[in-house]
Amino acid sequence: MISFNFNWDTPRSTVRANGLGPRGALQRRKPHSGTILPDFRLAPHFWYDASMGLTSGRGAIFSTFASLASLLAALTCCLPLGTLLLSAGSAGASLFSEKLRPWLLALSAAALVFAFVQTYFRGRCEFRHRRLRTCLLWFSATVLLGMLLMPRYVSSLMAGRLPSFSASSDLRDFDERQFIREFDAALSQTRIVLLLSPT
Amino acid sequence: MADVLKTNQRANLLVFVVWEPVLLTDWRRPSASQTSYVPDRRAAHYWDIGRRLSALYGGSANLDALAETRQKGFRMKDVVWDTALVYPPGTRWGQPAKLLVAPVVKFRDELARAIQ
Repeated sequence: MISFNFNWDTPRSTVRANGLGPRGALQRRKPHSGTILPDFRLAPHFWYDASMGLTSGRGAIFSTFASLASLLAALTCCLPLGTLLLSAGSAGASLFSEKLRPWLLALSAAALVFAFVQTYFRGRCEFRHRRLRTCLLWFSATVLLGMLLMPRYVSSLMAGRLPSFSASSDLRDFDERQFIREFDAALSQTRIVLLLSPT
Repeated sequence: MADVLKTNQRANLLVFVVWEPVLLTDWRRPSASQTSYVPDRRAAHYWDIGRRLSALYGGSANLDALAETRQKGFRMKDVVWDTALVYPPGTRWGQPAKLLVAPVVKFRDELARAIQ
């Protein structure tokens, strides 16, 4: 189990240029016994580094991103549901945005791989609802694989229709000469040419 | 499109449905059940893996020359797709169509009116 220790107790106005607070030094809370304690120094004064004084420029940006990255990593470890939701959400959103579809599917696959690794290879964090998590993980994997392997059927199901498995006519390979011949042969008829993507 | 054809049952109509790979998920040849999406006896279905028809039309850059009336609801990158062209009787291949709509689902009312 990981707990977080945010330094909320020093108001910004009391921080001096030498990095010391009103009591001469920043006081860190003592870690709870038996816990691993990453000391995240996030808002409201995440730009402040107790040992180095006030940071600025690259250092401040770097420490901000480092803090956010470690927070995200810790949250993902304990709450892989977030990763799963990211995976399922991006896979679902890909149905509605054709332009973003490749990126969303890639993001979904990456999030899912990460969730699998966290669940089966790096199972360091205890999680009470392990069964629920495992079910969600495999459900997400099924949806994603379905999207990649049978996109038409998954799209039909998500649109509230049952996919059809029966053919209404032949699907011939396109041959431009034959097509033009058939087009001109039906000169007396109104013709519609449809160009469509299967998915 | 199936709805448009269902409401217009006149016999003097022929529909060429050309399926082509455009999206990332179009990575394999669709099965014959793909034809069930336009299940009309007047429809002929083709699988155009090389996107030859789009090339014959000159790609998306040539859309304006393809029809007298055009209704476009999205920008195509290079391939002509999600598009319907209506050719009245007497029009030969190479002549402009009467109407071009894209995407089909957005302009199905216009499409239905054009084939009445």
